[in-house]
Amino acid sequence: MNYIIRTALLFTILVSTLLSQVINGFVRDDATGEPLSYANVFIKDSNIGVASGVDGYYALTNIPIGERTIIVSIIGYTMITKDISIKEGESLRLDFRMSAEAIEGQRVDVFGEAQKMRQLVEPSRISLDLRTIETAPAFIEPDLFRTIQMLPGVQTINDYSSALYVRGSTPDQNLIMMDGITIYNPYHLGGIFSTFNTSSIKEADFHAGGFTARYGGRMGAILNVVTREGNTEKFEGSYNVSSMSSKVLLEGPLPKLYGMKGSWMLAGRRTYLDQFINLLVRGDDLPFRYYFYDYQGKVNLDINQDHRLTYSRFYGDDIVEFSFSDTYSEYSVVEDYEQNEENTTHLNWPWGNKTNSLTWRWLISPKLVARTFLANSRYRFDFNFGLQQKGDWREGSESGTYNEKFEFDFYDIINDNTIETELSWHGIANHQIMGGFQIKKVEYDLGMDFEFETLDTLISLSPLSQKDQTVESSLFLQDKWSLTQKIVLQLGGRFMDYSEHDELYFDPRIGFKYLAKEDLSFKLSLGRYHQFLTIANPEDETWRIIDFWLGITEEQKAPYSDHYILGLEYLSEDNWLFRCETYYKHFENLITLKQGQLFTEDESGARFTPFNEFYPTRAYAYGLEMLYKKTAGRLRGWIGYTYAETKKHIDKHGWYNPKYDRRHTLNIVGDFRVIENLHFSTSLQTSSGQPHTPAIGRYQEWEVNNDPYMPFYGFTEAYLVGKKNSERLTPYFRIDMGFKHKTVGKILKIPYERFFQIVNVTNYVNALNYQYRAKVNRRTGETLGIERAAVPMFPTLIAFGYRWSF
Amino acid sequence: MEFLVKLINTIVLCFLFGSCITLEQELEWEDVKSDHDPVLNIMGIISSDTLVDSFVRVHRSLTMDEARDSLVRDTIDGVQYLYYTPRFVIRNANVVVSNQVNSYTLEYQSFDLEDFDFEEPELQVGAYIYKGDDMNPHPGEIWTLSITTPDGKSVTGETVLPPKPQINDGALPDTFNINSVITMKFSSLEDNVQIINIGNLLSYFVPYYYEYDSKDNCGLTQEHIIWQGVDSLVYQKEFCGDEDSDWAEDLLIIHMLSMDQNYYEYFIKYGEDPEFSNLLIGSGGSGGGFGLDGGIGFFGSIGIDRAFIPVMP
Repeated sequence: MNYIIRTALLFTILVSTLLSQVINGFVRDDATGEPLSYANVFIKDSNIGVASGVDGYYALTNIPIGERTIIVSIIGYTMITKDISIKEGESLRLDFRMSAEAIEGQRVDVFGEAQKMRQLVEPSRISLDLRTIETAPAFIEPDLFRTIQMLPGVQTINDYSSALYVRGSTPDQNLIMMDGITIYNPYHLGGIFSTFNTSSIKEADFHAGGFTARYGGRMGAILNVVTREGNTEKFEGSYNVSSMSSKVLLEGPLPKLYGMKGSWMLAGRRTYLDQFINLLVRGDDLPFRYYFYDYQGKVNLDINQDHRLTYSRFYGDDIVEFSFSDTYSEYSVVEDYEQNEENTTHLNWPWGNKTNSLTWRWLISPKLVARTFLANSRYRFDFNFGLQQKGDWREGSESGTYNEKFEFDFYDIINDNTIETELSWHGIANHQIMGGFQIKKVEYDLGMDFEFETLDTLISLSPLSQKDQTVESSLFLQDKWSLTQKIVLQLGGRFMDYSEHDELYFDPRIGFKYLAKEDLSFKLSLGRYHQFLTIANPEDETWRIIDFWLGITEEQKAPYSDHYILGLEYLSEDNWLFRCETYYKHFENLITLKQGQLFTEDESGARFTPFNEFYPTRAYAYGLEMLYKKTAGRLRGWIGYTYAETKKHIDKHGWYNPKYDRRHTLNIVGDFRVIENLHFSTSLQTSSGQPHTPAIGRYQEWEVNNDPYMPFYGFTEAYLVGKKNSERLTPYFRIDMGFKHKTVGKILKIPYERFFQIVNVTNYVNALNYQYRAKVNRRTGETLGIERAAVPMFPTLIAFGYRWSF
Repeated sequence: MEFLVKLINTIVLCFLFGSCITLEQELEWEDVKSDHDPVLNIMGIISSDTLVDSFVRVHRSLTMDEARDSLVRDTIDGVQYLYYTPRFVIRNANVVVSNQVNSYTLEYQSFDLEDFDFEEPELQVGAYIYKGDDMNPHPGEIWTLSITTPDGKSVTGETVLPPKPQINDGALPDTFNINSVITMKFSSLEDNVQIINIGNLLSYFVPYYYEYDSKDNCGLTQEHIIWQGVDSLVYQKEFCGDEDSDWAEDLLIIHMLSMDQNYYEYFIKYGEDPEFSNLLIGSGGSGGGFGLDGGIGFFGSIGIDRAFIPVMP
């Protein structure tokens, strides 16, 4: 009997949800067809409203029957008002195309920010559109990571790196995605630039912590870069040339076929620093052979109004390559001897990412949306160096030839294949339920090969060969439950199975929001975050070019982090957003590479093991962040302040502050519209000095030469270092400025933009580290004490360029 | 505003065909000060081998702001010598080693000025040795070290002498040539690591690198770590370029050294696990103290055995 009652109840709920009144559809830009996220869609004179998602999709449920007025609004666009008539059980599909408007600063235009504040439960989340990314003055070109580095809670290790250290988490603990595909080394030029071409970015969704059960596999932050879909209305493009690189963006509609329509987008860039420098350096000098390039493409195909297929591809490489040869000849009549020889040297070193993905979105019903995603992401670096010496000789009646080759190859490949499905269900009033599964297979291949070949001998050695394959399977479920108009609870959990471990992991995620007033909200977030891969890079390295990714082994416990975040947000009437957050994170089961340990010798012999030995590590981080942000008006920008501390523990060192720990950080970013089409931007970044390990003395390291004749004992000079990271470098300070001017060409009438930027206007010396040298009395040659100087980061840099649109 | 636009246009046009412009930053060198209190840095080795003397070197660490060397003016037999001598060497320490039965005071043995190499003064550092002939360390003995300096610093240490290596001479061939493969046999040690160094006498006096016209026996000089419990080693010439080099009659020297735990940890294990590693400073750390209390460095002990095989063309 109970069974019958329960079944009947469930059926009633299901039928009632299916039969309730629903309005759904997409909100897009009328000129380009690009989806508009966080557009406010609501029923006039009611509490029914929702914000469109990243793909522009919205669904309003439980609409009262009768004559209603639906309103759609978003900052920068003309508001749409439409009268509709709703019958019982009716579902209405309404797609909106919104026109951009020039007027800014009106109250209605801040609904975008207000919607985000109203809709988002999790704290620590920021959506950056292209305009925000381009607000800050940039080095050569706008860069997404460098913009994010100026947000509260995000640290930078030095000017040469765009890697993100977020609230005590290291870059490998952040999940960086492009359209949902994981990118494993999202940097160019060793981290000076990120791998994301801003021309193709629609928006970037950044979670500094406390992210929902939808995301997993990382302990730190989430960054999902959403690329443009392409103009559905007409073909257009832009071309950007600067003193260092060129970028091109092309987009347009697909030809309509059998009722299907869609769009495409193609973007690419290449640096030509190598060409520039080689023009200046002539003669026999070694040519400079470094450059990077990347391209990405996207094709969207709307099979019908409920089915969409999207194919996305990215390819990017940094390349160092050179090759040179010289010949040598010797001839002696007296000795009746001659020799001819040719020596060749080559270096080829590409490193980069390649991704492919196919996404199928299916609107099963107005309240149920399914998204299935297949993706492959491959990162690899392959350092190949070779020498060849070949020749011939003759001495009297004797002669011979020789050919010796040496090849060295060092590579790391990570290949990620992922399948995932997500279901979003708006079937129950006041609930937004999302669930899904993900299977991720990752292959690691790290190796080193030597080969030496002569005319009759071939020796091959592979001292390093580490191959592994792991599978992560996850199941998640979350519900965003609006308890009242003012209180929202977001509960979720993620179950994970890791192929190397026997246990099943569970990560709970809890979010709570209290909307005290229309413009003031309080948020709380708690969660656990597991991670099953790590990088084996030295912790003290000054400049990281590549990452060595490894999966957690069977013997190692899975690292995890717990996040506790409390925050408040306030949106003022004159477009200022104020956010204040405090957080605490602790990390368990971390591992830190033992540095300098290249070989391990034991009973089985000597093995090359640079990535095998780790210290068990734990850590914690806490902080207070404040953000003042203005998104509309003639002056836009933000002021961010962070007070934070991060501490790590390794038995050998005890507790210490890692290199990315900064006690105080202040970032001020501003973009001012001087006149129409002329913008002046500036940024100020200052922070406490970075921890470093000081040299405190000098001593002799004893050495032994185990000569078979007689052991010989000597020494080399070395620095005695103090406690790890016990001192601080000088505080960091930098001011950047830039101008951008848009105009139309007088001859060809093509619109273009020119820009001029100065990085580090004051030429302040920011210390990367210290270099030491002996102080010498120039008169007597006597070696006195030791002196040091800062190894500088960026000096004053001036960059400029043009961007054309067509 | 129009003027501003024109000014910007002009600046951009002027720079358009140039490369990115930078302003150089002048490095400001500053004296490094630290409140480091110098510590004693010791290398002490007790040897049970008759050909290798036991010795102790007593150095101290230097602060960052003190000079490394002292200028010394010396007149000997009417000849004036002016040279720099390292400050880190302590020449007036009281160094005593003991096998718990007898104690032996080691004396500082300086260099002979007449043999002084002014090109490499840092090599002319002395050590403390025992000038008598009744100090005979034996395997298994526990030896202690005690050092005190006039400024009040002191270090103590302890080492247990390892068993002496024993190469099985009877298992070695009478001669060796280029294609030989030898299985060397020796006594295995359960608790101590040994190192075997093999080389030919000629390579000791002739540079090791490969040359077309050299008569060196490239590839013969090898070093192998012999772990606990291992009692044999297969030895053959390693690949080393052109194999057609001429051979001369020579002597293959087999040198086997056993070490105590302190010696092993300092020279083999510690070097693999630096506390700190940085491109600008290099590897380093707190120096490490093995078998010592009150200082850095090590106090260890060794034993040696040797064998010789004639090398035939």
